[in-house]
Amino acid sequence: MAAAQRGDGEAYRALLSEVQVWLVGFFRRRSPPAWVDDLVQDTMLALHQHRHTFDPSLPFMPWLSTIARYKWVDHLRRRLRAAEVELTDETALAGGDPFGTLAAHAIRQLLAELPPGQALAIQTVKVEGFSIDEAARRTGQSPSLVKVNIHRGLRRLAALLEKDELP
Amino acid sequence: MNSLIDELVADLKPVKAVTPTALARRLGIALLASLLLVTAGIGLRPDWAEALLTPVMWWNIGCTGLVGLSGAAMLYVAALPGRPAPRWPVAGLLAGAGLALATAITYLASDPAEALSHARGPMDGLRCGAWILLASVPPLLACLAFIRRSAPVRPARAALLTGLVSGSFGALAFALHCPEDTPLHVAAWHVLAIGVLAVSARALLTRWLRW
Repeated sequence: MAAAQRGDGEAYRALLSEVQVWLVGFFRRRSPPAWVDDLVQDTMLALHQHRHTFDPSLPFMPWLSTIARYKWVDHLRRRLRAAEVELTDETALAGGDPFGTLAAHAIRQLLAELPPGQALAIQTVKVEGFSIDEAARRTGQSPSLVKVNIHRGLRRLAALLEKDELP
Repeated sequence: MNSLIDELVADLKPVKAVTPTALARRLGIALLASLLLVTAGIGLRPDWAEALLTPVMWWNIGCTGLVGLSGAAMLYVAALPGRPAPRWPVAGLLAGAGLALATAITYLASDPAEALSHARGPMDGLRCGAWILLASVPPLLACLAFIRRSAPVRPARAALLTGLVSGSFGALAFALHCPEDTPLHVAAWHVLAIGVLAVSARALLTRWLRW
């Protein structure tokens, strides 16, 4: 990376190829497959645009993984915002939409941050894909409570991401 | 995906790694600009040279400067990914803020009637606060110029620190004008102005600092 900062194209190409492989692994562990390409591209672009923020006297990996993690949280935050907006649309709710906007592995650790009622509602509808009515029967919450819980839970998760409060 | 690598390699130009000097130089120039702004706008206090020798001024400049410099060090680390965060800035920040408030409380508690007899109306305090906000504009621009070229991974924290540093540098410049140098006044109004700037910066700038 230090050579790349000086403008060495060959060193940069070699570095980017290795970075790409590492990033694919990094994001596969954290996101559904459909997100991986976007996240890898976003992170490589960010690395390129912010390459002057790397200090050549420090190790490279903490710098790269911090950028990758930031891009992942940012992606998640935007997905949560989008899911929240979608909730105001009844038709989107009726379909259930399993793994559509929120994928299981991305959201599993986030749900631990929520009160159980909200986590259960989001898990049942947004992750497992049940309709509101089915979710109400399965969770014992009334249909309107399921909706309220999803809405509040998503808003809370998005707020947590805004505040950088997640681990 | 490999076409992306080709594009990035083709676009590669030499860059200079960011160093602390980049922020320090900008903040130094900004502090001078703030001093000029205060001098040209309302003038320094007539006895500023003698006032600089009084303990209350050392305390004022010491606490504000400590918070400003510690905050600037924290901002530098917050603005760049993967930097190890040293502990001394956090200690400096807490020490500066703690000393400021502790002194004011001790001063007030030791002789409340005497302390309050020096306190003027809120209009004077608000005027000081407003001037500190104005004097904070050059350091705010300096911080923003620095941080826009960097990559803060915790935008909310970086935004808060931007406000804190700007406010402290503004208050530092304003200290040479402020004729009311009692601990109570400084701890109430100067600290309030810095706090308002820090909270507003966090609310308004966080979104803008995402990348």
